[in-house]
Amino acid sequence: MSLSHSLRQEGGALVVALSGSFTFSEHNAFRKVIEEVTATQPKRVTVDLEKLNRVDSAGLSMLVLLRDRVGKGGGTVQLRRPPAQVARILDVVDFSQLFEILR
Amino acid sequence: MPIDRAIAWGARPPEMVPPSAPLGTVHLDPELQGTGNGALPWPWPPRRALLALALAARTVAGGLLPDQLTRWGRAHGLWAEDAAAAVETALAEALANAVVHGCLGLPGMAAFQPDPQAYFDAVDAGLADDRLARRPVFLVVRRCVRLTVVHVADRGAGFRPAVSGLAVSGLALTGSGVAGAVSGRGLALIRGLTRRMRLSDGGRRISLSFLRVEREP
Repeated sequence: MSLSHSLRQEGGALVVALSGSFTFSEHNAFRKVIEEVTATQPKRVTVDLEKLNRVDSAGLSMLVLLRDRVGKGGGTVQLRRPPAQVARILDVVDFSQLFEILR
Repeated sequence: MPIDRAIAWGARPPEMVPPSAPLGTVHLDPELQGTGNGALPWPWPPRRALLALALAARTVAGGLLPDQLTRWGRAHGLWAEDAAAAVETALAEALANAVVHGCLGLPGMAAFQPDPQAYFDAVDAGLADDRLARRPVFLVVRRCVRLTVVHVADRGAGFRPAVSGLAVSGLALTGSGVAGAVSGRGLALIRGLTRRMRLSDGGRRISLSFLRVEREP
């Protein structure tokens, strides 16, 4: 299943809800997400992972890229509600050192 | 022995590895025919192989193989149902490394900073180049006591130990400069999702071990 996303404001944060598979072949889809997010110059971004069914190292790289781009504008990125299989991946690479992860 | 002198060629089935494919299946990608592209890394077909595939990088890059392999392995009890997501991700990482680094000869995304799109463009350009896209990736599945071992090999330049040491050993992957880097997590991910990970042949071969399902006699 390909990656899809939606953006909404929620309590002062820009929420990026991802669904589907976030893997190497989805880089163009997520590049669009990064462009849309950074265009709003947000101070707080929450990436909602609840409906994500798979992520690989390329997907992880893109999340770090989003963090770097938002960080350049003084903003922060947090991750929210990873499903079990995605949470395991985040734990394996110790993403809690890079992101606040709300479970 | 060159590939195109060692194998018989057949049409590619709609699914390369359907769940119904029997143990002992050998599949050779027609894309490799005539390439003479590197020597086979094992005697071919490998002895005691539960599955043996020789595929062009372009075929592997299609992205369908990890899911197919995972379902095939589940059908044969080679890994547990609840391990499927981890198996699929680990296989996808190993195959992606073989294609991107081994066949296309590209470094990781971090080397393309600050423009990651340049990395994806370089991958796309490599896959459009027949000379690179028809380089071979080999996958062999074997049984080893209570484990299923999947070997993925390429004929690329491999890793230099000095460069790959941290990732191979898994030491301090998140505390030694990799933590905030854009890329470089593939091997750590594989190591964390498998029972055992081993690199050999100068980094050209990676072996992933998964616990097998113990079936009633």
